[in-house]
Amino acid sequence: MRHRRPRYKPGQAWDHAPVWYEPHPDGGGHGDGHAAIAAAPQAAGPLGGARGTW
Amino acid sequence: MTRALEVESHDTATSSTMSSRTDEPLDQIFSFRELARLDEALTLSSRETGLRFTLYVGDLGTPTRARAEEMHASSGGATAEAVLIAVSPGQRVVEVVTGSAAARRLPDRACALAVLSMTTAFAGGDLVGGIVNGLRQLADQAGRPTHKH
Repeated sequence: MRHRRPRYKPGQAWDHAPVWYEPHPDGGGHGDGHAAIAAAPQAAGPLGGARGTW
Repeated sequence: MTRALEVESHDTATSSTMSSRTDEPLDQIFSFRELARLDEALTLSSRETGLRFTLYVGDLGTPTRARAEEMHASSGGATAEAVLIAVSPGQRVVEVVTGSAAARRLPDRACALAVLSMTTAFAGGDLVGGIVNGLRQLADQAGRPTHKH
């Protein structure tokens, strides 16, 4: 019997622990990986981006 | 394999969610196959663009933007070149935060288009598909890094 993971349904409570994923260390991009995460916050200059809701 | 970081996870825990967090494995929300898709998308996006894409999935508190920007600042490495995608399924909010260098290659308008794509998928219950497609759009927009010699 195949185990089926409950599918996310919009509007339902989200009771899972927060998780933070980073790219594979060999995958390129900048940064020092896991060890650097706990470092003090660094100013990144004026921030950009976008926000969305559903 | 993409590593799931517990960084600051528990800082955002509330009394109502703390107990469930300690009982659950970190990756229970996604299957291994889904994790593999996320891993590939994050790694390829970062490799192709030279930017550092990270993904947070969890509650963002309020205001969501301020929290996402705090997390971006704490994401390690050269944060100016970091791009954080923060998804809060419970709040039905997604925030994309770009550092100053990343923002030059990923204008807010491009981020908004990727966010629109993501929210459309999220509304249909497809979290992983939305994130993967959003990452692909962002990476395509950012293009390859220009090397200075």
